[in-house]
Amino acid sequence: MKNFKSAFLLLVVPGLLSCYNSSEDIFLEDLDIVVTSYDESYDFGQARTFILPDSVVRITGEGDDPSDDDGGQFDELILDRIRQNLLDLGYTEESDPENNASDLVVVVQTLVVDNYVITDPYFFWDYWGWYPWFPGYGYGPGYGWYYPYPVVVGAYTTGTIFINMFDPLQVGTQDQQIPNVWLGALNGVLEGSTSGLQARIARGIDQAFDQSPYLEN
Amino acid sequence: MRKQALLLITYLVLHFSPSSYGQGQLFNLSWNIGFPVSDLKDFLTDEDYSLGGFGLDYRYFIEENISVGGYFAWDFFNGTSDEMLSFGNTDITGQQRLFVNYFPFMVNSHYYLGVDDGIRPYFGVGLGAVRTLQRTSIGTFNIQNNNWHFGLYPELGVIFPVFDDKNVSLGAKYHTALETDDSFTYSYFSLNVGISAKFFE
Repeated sequence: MKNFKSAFLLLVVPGLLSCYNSSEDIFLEDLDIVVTSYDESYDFGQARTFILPDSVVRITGEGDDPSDDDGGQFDELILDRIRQNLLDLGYTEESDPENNASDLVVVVQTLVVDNYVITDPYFFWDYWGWYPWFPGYGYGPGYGWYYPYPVVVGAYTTGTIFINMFDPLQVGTQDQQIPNVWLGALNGVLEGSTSGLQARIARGIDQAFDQSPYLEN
Repeated sequence: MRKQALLLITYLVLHFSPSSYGQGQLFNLSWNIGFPVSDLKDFLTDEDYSLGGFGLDYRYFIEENISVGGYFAWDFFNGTSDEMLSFGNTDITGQQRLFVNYFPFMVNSHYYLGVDDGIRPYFGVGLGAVRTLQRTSIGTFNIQNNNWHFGLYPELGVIFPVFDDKNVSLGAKYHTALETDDSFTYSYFSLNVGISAKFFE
């Protein structure tokens, strides 16, 4: 009987430990994503110059929390990083845009969204792998608090930077809309230190250009 | 027709009745270690093995060396990938966190060598339905792809008597859940370390 109990412990203890799979924890930068998309019919090779307006457009909605506005503390960093990437790709910034037409116009927008997570923590329903109690899996980043039963509530804020590239001569004759020839979008969780956010923004902008080799001039 | 069905049921009941053979039942609880292969391995990218899994096995002996029964398990895998995703003219980079939960609901049958109270090697096969829950998390977004499959497994193993009617079992299965319109074929080896109890009637 003693042997059987030993065998039982040998079986069950590793089994329980396996629930707490030793996968690495998720860091904030692991939640950053970069999406790029482009107009396949557009010949980036013929574009030489660009204009980069010196302000960032904020996408807001009615009832948005004004405290979410970062006060533009990252705008300079964002614009400088984009400018440097474009210059590195071989484009030239048009120094007199009022008198000289440019091949490309780059407009930057930011969007901040508060997210709330309400989930039922029943063991079976939320499944093993992404169950919030298991380290490294399923946490809503920056989650705030939880009720032991039956609801887990989390809140986190995400930020998105849109880098829009237009050819100003491609104005639609009917709708007078200018189509995007390239879009770079960075999305991540707005948590952490200012220096950490700056590093993540810079890395994300660089990645957007790195994964778009067709932009090379 | 009704008479033939009645005869068939009577035969099966008599044939499988414990009082006819008195061979008993066996319950087995196992810890499963999974080794993904093929498309599942490709999906999980960096997951070579998973320690997350358990199984429940019920076997009813219709002969001293033949059992029929059922098997349920919950095997879990997770992996990560930093590969860029491309969809036409759109590219996405970011860490992908990849999860698979695999739930087989099987009927099975086993053939045993050896005799009761001794070491009993066995082989068997299970087939039935498999529920797979697949999730790809990238950034704060999730993509789920959950499916039902037809699945099966061949199995080899050994039951070691430990004390009274309590046993320790070691087994190996090769799980396959066949592809569906929305899913690839799931395949993995599974090592099963279990404890079991046999009940005679």
